[in-house]
Amino acid sequence: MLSTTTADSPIQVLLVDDDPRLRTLLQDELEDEGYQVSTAADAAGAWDQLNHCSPPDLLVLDWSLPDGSGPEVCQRMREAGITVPVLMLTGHDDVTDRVLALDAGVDDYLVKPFSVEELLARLRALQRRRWEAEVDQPDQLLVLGGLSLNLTAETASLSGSVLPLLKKEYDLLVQLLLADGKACSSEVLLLNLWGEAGLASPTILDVYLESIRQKLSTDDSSPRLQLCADDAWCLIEGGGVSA
Amino acid sequence: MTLFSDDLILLLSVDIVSSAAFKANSSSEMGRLSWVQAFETFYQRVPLILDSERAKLQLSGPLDLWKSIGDQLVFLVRPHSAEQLEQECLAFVRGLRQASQELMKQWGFELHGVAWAFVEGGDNATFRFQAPQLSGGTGFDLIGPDVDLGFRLVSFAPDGGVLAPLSLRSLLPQSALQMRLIGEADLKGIELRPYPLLQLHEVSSP
Repeated sequence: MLSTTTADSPIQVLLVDDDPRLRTLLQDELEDEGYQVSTAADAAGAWDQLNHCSPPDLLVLDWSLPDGSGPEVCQRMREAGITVPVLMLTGHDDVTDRVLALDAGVDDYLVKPFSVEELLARLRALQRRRWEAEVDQPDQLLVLGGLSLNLTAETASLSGSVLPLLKKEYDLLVQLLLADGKACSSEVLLLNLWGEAGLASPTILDVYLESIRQKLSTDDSSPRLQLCADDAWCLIEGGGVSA
Repeated sequence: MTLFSDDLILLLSVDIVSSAAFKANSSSEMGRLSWVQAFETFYQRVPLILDSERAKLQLSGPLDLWKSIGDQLVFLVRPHSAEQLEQECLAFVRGLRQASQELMKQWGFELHGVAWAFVEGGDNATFRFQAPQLSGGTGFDLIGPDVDLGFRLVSFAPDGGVLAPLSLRSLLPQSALQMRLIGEADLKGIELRPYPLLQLHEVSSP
């Protein structure tokens, strides 16, 4: 089931800026260049997308946001282990601000006003650096039926389409796929995924299993999530989903 | 489902999405009075709409306002049964959605909310004040980890929607409402990380 291959999908950019006109302009330009773009108008929206969706490949982040600053968002991301390359857009151009942003985990810095060509060039450079860092690490995939988990990029697909998963949904599927059809007890899943905090609240496993079941139910080629022993779960090949 | 406790307190919080940005934009575009009027509409309409939705579900008595903190209104209910708990949450989900749509149309901002319940006592202490102003006029305050959890969730609630903590899942009969996982977040002071973000939906809604 574990195989090695190279993923090939459009580069996803998350664009965070509170100026709707600039956001629309940059989104159009980036999409013209072939990027897949999602947007947010504030720090909460950015954080929401970073947590709720598959992580983007690149983040374009404005310094000034209505509910916080770009460097704060970046620092919070890095503390949470999110390694997405960040290009910061800003009107701040003194050394202190540059140092602050770089220390917060920003990878590159572009001062307003800027040309779109320069923005695109810097994004290409950021992506190139990321590819170079990853070139010696071919993607490891876990595959069962139409479901594929890319362990390198920490992404998932179902019948070739991106399957948006939350962090713990992804982790739970990894556990179940690594078990290769064998039963995983709820206790072990809780301990592996949430440690002692999870054991205190077994309801959490039900919540995630229910959500995964919902997401897999959209495709006939999905593996089947089922209760295969007393309080133990397994993921097996076969269309449809059973309780 | 967890056994229902008579000491259960249900808190229902509603607040304006991105209120700081709304005030900032209103100030520069329409003048200070505009956002003040918008907030007045919020304070007046939200309790009325929520009471109206409660009346439709034959829930008696007005909804008690426990606290008003800036643009956040927190209502308090002491449900007598799991069924009433669910009906109160259902009325809140419906009322908040309606109020959000109305205020969006009139003023251009949305609302979001959190519904959470916990047992009075135990880890959560009730403080009663002789000077009511110490508690914002209500005469008592609630402090504890379960109280904090709901306030931590507030900023993650979707526009027009209501989030609820994991613990509510085992208290609700889930005949009229279901809880859908919509995201995860690290919540300050909460050991479970990431914390699942669960949105309350009517059973029949898509």
